[in-house]
Amino acid sequence: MRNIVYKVTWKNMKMNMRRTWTSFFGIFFMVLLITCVFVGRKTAVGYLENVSSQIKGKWHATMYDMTEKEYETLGGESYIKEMGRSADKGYVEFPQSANDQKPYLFIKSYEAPCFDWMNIHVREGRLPGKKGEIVISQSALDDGAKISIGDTVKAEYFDRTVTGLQKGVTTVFPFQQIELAGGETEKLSQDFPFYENNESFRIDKEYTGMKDNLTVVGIVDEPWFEQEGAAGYLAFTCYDAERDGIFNIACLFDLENEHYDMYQNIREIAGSREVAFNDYVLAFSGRSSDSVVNFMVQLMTIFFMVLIVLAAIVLIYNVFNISFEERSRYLGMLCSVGATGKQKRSSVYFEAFSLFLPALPLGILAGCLVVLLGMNLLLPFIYSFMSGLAVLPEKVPVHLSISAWDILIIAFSGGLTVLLSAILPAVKISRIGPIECIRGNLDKNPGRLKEGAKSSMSLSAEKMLAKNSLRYQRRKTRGMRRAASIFMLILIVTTATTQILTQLITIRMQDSDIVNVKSEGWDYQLSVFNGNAGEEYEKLKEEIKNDVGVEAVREEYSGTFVGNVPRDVMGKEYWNALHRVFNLYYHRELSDEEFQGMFEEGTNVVSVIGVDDETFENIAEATDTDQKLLESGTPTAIVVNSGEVSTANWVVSEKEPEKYEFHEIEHMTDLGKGEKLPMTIYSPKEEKQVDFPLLVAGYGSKEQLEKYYTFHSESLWVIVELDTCEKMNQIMAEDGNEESGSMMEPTLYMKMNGKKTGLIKRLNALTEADEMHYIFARADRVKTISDTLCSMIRILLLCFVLLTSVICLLNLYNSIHGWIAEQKPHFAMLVSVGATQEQIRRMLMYETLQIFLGSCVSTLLIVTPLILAVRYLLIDQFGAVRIGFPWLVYAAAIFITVIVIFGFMLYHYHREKDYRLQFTG
Amino acid sequence: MEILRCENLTKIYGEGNIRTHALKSLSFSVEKGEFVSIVGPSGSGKSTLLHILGGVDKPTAGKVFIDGTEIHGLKEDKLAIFRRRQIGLIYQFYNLLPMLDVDENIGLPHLLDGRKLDRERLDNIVEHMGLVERRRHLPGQLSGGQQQRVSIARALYNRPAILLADEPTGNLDRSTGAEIVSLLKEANRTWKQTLLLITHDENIALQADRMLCIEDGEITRDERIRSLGGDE
Repeated sequence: MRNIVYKVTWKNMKMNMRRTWTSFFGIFFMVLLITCVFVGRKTAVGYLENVSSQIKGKWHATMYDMTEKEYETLGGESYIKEMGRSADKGYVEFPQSANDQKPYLFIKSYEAPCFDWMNIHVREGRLPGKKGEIVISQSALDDGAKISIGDTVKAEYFDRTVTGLQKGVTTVFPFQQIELAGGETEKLSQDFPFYENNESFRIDKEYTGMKDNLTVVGIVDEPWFEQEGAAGYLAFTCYDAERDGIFNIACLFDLENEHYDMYQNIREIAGSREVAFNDYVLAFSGRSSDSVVNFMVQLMTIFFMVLIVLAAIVLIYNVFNISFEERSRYLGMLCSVGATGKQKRSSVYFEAFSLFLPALPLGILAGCLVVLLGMNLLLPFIYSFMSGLAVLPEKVPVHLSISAWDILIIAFSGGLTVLLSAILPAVKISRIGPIECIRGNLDKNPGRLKEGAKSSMSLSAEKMLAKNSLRYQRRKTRGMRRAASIFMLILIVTTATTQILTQLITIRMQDSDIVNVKSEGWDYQLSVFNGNAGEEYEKLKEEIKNDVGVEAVREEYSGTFVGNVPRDVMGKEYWNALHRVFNLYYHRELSDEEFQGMFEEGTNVVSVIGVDDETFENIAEATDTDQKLLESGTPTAIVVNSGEVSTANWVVSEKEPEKYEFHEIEHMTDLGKGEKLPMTIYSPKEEKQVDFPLLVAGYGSKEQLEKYYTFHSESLWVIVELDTCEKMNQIMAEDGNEESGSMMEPTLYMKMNGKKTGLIKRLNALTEADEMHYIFARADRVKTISDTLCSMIRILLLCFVLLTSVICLLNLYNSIHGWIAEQKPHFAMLVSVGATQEQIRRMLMYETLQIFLGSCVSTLLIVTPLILAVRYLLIDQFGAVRIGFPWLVYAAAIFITVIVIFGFMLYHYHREKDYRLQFTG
Repeated sequence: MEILRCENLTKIYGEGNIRTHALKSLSFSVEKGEFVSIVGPSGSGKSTLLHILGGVDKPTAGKVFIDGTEIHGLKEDKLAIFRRRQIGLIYQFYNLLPMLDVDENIGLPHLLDGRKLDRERLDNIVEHMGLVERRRHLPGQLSGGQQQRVSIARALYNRPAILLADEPTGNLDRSTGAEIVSLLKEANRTWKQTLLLITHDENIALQADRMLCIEDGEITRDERIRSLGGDE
């Protein structure tokens, strides 16, 4: 090494191995964490995309009813990576069907990549390779269809249409979103059930003229988009460009590059035709069609990157600062023989970058290992969440995602961080003259005269020492304050922002009109379907209740769109929120008259939950409910006053909202307690709405009800007792069928006491034998897709918090070690004048407490505006959502910091207690 | 009256082949009010002896009795309390706490004892040491001689049974050193303060009542220079 400054610095580094290793580990951890952010994000996103693609497939967008010309236009767009065409060829008769409600096959034709993109998995045989070959859904075979590989299906394609028959009467098919006036005809989709013709409507077959002789070459798993109630089983053949006419285009985007106007461009090409985006897959890469989700994903990445870099800068800066005094001595000596300020600065940079060079490859390697290890450790959790989904996805292996570009970015960010961390110590050291360096008189203001300052001798010796020590060593304790502040800052900001983000993502990804029953505390649930809640169910219920292995049973009925109420029942808050949502759809401010005009006619729906007496009493206790009203003898209800209105759960036909906006509602209705909810229920027997008023006994917010349910609904929900529920069911029962499918149906929740009685086996056998009517499952297994995805996001964010905390802990550990080590001569002096260990420990406790309180104040002053800004930013993007201030997070972060800071202090103090012989110098 | 007695004091540093005998079965006693100087070449064991006498280091073997108490038989905390009440230590490099002002440094052992400062005594001692103008100064703002005077004042404030000084003039110029020695002698005479002083300076050593010479951890000479009371 020719440069003498570098040579001296290198020797000094070797002589101070402990400090050198600390600096090295600081830089190493910084590189590791930056690698985790870049590689971890890409790997996790890739993995989650793969997992998500198990839900709806790998496709990114699908455009419906396209033409050849549009196909060519789209193919020329830079954001398109790959395309595949598909078409709905139509229905064909399926005489082999064993289900009289499913007498058809619905045949779809796919180009080769579409099979993979749509998750069409072969169970037996192979996929169709040429015209005239088909694969059939396993659901047909499950229903007993007499068909196997090699059989042929004579296909004469037809469309199904429905025609309204009664003039002046609108026939509504709510689940298919069809409203049919008398005389109108509409083409039916693949999901439409098999209905017999009646006096209201007629279903016809319209043959397209296309015929095929199709050979079955394979059986595929039931596709995720196959509807159980549809009139036809799904079957797939090869796409035939010459015969299939209008087709759909599925495509994959080029996600590697930024395409700002991608979604707008696609919508322009599609015009008025439907376009669907697979946001489950796109959301994780920050490229979903939903700008809010994109914004949140991008914000998270930047946010974590900034926090890690900030923590790393403080860590490395602190390491350099701790060694400032010792370093300044040898640099002072160099200076006394003619070293310039530049040379002194270069010593600091040399040390920083000579440590960065080995730390970079090692940090990247370790970061990749941490990512792989972390992801693999997370897999069981991810699968335990995923197992709650209706369709259990295949195991997806974790692939590390790293490119040369990533390595360059990591090297650049790491280098920049090291440079930024070293600049200030380098500048400071270059300004100190040789005399100060050699004397060790480094502080510009070493000991201020204490004139005017109140003497501390009235305090106890420990407090006096702590107070004076802190005043004297202000510069030296600054590193520790900084470390404690950044630790608290990272804990509070990451946890609070994680909370806010997951809350928003939960809301955004939540299926609308969903009420989830909280399964905590219950082991199993038995759900009854398709009008089977009759005598057989009552017997089963008694058997379960009397089983010695069952500790508790909760019975519950639920039904959406059970009744209707006049529009004015809904509260002012609800209408205001809806008005804002409609403004977004109409891209302008609608006047009150205009908006009200849209809702002059019609009613609002009411959904109902019926619970057993004990649960009802508990809910009444937990909510704002008047007991006297409950005992009034009339049907009473507890109204769920929380609701949600957003551009996702309110759709205005043929209109696209300006942006996504969400409104959380606290008062769905302004009706007072004791007032009547004027509900009507449709009676099939009487063929009219029947009055069924409910006395409002109380209100429950979603917070009050969170022990029982999570509500995500734009409609009004009421909770009633079982006998009220039974009365409603009697009205809803169809003539001659006391247990019709439109009625509310029960679910039994069971808590087991561990005694084995064979009940579980019997219930499992019952489900297997009669799966049309019963579903028996573990209570915690019933989860929604959004629950699953949010849990995964939470785990990943938690990992980020933990990893960032590592760097902060290292920083705090170092700072406290440096602080205690510098105090060793003082401890020795104190011992020589008779201070006990306990007194020195107490003095340090006081000092630590003051340093901690100082850190708390500065942290709160920085963090609170930051959190408020993040909240404001997110609420501004997202809409009116109630985000509580994270007081608990503050308290937890302060508590953890207290434990850590005092723990480290006591640890270092006990390690450094051997200072007896060091006091002579 | 005997105020200090040490019996067979031995101190060994290191282990195996690198064992160093700093003190070799050293025994002597000191009378109350006696001024004893300890001389010897560098590495002879003087400072080790003083640290052991002051209770800040432990002997490998042997006992130290101060005012009848075997100090190394005391538990750590008891020894610390004994030290702040009965022993005054003065060092070559003053060992003042840089963050405390003159008054606070002087009163520190007393404050550590949980007692209130006796203002009159503090004023007296500060005046006696010529530090009245410097009471609110920090050690960094004082000269070497002033710092050593603070150190002596601190050692004397509690009126300890014994004052142990480890080359108190080693870091000072001749005249300041003489000033410090005269202060120590004055304390010895005025308050009958027992004083053990380590020095390299023969002139200072000869001002004591008695001189102990240590070489290789052993007392090679124990010479009375003048009788207790001042006669040569």
